[in-house]
Amino acid sequence: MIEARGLERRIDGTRVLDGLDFEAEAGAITAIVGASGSGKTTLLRCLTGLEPLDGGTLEIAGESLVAGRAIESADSMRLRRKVGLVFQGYQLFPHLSVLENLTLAPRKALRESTADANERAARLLEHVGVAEKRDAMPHALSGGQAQRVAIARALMMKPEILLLDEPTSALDRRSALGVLGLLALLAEEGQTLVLVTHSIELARKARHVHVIASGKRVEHGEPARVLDAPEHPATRELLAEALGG
Amino acid sequence: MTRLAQPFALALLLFAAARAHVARADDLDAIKQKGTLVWGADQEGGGPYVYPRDDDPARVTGFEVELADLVAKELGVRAVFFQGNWDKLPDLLRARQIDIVLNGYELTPERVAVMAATKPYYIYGLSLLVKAGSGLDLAALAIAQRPKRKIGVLTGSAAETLARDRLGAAVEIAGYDGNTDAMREVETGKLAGTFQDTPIVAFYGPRFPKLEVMGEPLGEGHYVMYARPGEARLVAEIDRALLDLHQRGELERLYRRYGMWNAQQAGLAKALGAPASNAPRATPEPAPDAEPAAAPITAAPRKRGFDVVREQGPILLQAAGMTVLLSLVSFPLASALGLSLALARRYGGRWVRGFVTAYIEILRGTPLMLQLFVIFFFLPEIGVRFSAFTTAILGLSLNYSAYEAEIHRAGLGAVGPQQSEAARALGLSEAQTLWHVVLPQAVRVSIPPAVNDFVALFKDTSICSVVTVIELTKRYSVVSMSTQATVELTVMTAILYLAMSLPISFLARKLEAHLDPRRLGARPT
Repeated sequence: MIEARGLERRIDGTRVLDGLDFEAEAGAITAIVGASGSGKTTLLRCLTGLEPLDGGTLEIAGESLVAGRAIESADSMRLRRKVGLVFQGYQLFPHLSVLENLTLAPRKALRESTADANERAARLLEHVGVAEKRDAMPHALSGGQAQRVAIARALMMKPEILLLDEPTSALDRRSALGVLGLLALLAEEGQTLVLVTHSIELARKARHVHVIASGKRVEHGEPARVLDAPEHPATRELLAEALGG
Repeated sequence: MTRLAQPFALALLLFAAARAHVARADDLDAIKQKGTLVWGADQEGGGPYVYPRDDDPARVTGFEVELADLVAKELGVRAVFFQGNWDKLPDLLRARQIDIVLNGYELTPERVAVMAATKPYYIYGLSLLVKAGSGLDLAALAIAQRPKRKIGVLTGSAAETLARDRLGAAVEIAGYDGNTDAMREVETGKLAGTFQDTPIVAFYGPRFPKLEVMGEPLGEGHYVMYARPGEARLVAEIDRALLDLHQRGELERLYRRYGMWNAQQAGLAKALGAPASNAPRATPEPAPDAEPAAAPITAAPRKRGFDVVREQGPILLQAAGMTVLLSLVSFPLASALGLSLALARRYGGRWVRGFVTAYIEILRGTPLMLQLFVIFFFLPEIGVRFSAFTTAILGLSLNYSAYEAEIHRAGLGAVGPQQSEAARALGLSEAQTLWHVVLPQAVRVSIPPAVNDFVALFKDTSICSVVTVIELTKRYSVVSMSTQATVELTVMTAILYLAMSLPISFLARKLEAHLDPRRLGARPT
């Protein structure tokens, strides 16, 4: 589903991605863990074409992206319709109701009729467990509700892959568990999920865990192997930090 | 310049010269062809020159109105009055908005240097007015006192020069902006006396029964009309008309009707170049063939209270309509232009951004009055002419677009880049992102300050009187000069302005509450 080789990205002269390899399977959860500043979020942005690559090759959802391709290019646009991204701060549109947040992109980018979009949105909201909030404005939602709406909004575009940036980090434990359950449900239904997190608990739900440090992948494998018998010092440091914190 | 460009430039120059030659066709021909003599004056200056008619304040009357009619008739055309601010009349002349200036303009070397003067149509003097019975003549005033006596004059007028020359050391000279302000101050005793042009004394004298003219008029000045420089034929034709009117006794009849015919007018015959033999006698007594003496036309008695409201209300209301029209047309234009500028500044290339920044800084850094002035008086010199109303709309829109651009820039800046990214990540195009996600949020931020600007623009419409648009403030100045009912008119004008601006402010507050950013704030992450 995703196959990345030697990805490079420099921002202001710093190598944020430094020859990074990464892959993800269809219909499974793949977790990317790493300390702050390790390049996790930049990787997600490159995967959605929001940020251009400076080097390497990327095959994702049947599209190939090469270095130097502008983010306004047609391939990048097509890519973004196949790959959904849920931002860390949700980034719901504050001037639109929950329902309108969901239907805006399908109506404008896919030219779906308002009636069809509304019907799909209502079903999705039900599925993610916030049906009663369909007419609420984003400011009236709790963190957990906002996260569910953000996930539903991304799913409206029927993405082949859904990327999530720290999906539980801003939530209290109860809400985090709820969102975790939702992600597991989506994976069961066959949705390909890639999530960036520094939550070890969340990473354990994945089929594959990739550990990133200084823009490189330093270790990867099944969670039981990577998280219980870490080989790389960076992984051990991350685990120690998670236990201490 | 390249070799190829040289002959081309030369041809262009020749063409321009040829056009300039055609454009210099004589004003007199142009006037006869269009059938109108457009004369510029400011009715705010008041009687007896040009002032609003008592029975119909939308129209003007005065001895200069009648004189313009007489002269136009001699030229075989119709006189058309054109309202302009008094000190801007020469600019209106240069901008070809009017054919002549006719409004108590003195013959001075400075003006002759830039305009063509006709022969004088009236010889005025300066009268000393004091409180009746005070016995303060020029000799008495020349004796210094402690504290110094105060003498009132119109600022920058010949009266000020005269007062300084004759009494400078002995008295304190106080400058006033309105003709009759100083007369009122003499009445109340704040001033010992005032020097006024003889026509003013004749016209307003009856309104100030407690004042008395001391001695004969002093000094002698000539009121002339001004045409564009080089218009010798037009000037000669007006001179001929004035001479004919004088010889037929029509000037005398006109000036007698306004109580302005006096001994000084003996000089008119010579000034107009009349043969000595058949010059009419210039004495205060009526000429033998004059119509039976009627009471001279003077300022109507001062009215008070609801009479003023009844008489002046409709015309003030009409002027308020102009104020509303100017605001309602120019603000949406300013807002739309401002938004385009803000977008150009945000999304445009380096050159576009540079241009927009310069545009905004220039328009914000110079006064609206100056901008109106450039559009109305300077653009015609390069062949671009707009009507007064269009100029006002253009000036207000352009000026305010710079302020609106900054407001919209702040609004766009308030929408975080993550919002655009979220929209882009959902597959929306850049244009769709701007239209459906960024702009709706930005506009919510910019609406409250924009409404405040609307109130400011609304009040700035009063500046448009410099380009001859008559809106509420100008009309207020005109009628308060002509009626002297300052208190009533000030209250009425203030009420009209408030009646227009309060609903806008109310709306602004409602909108502000409705669009409270707290209701829109993104959740903490």
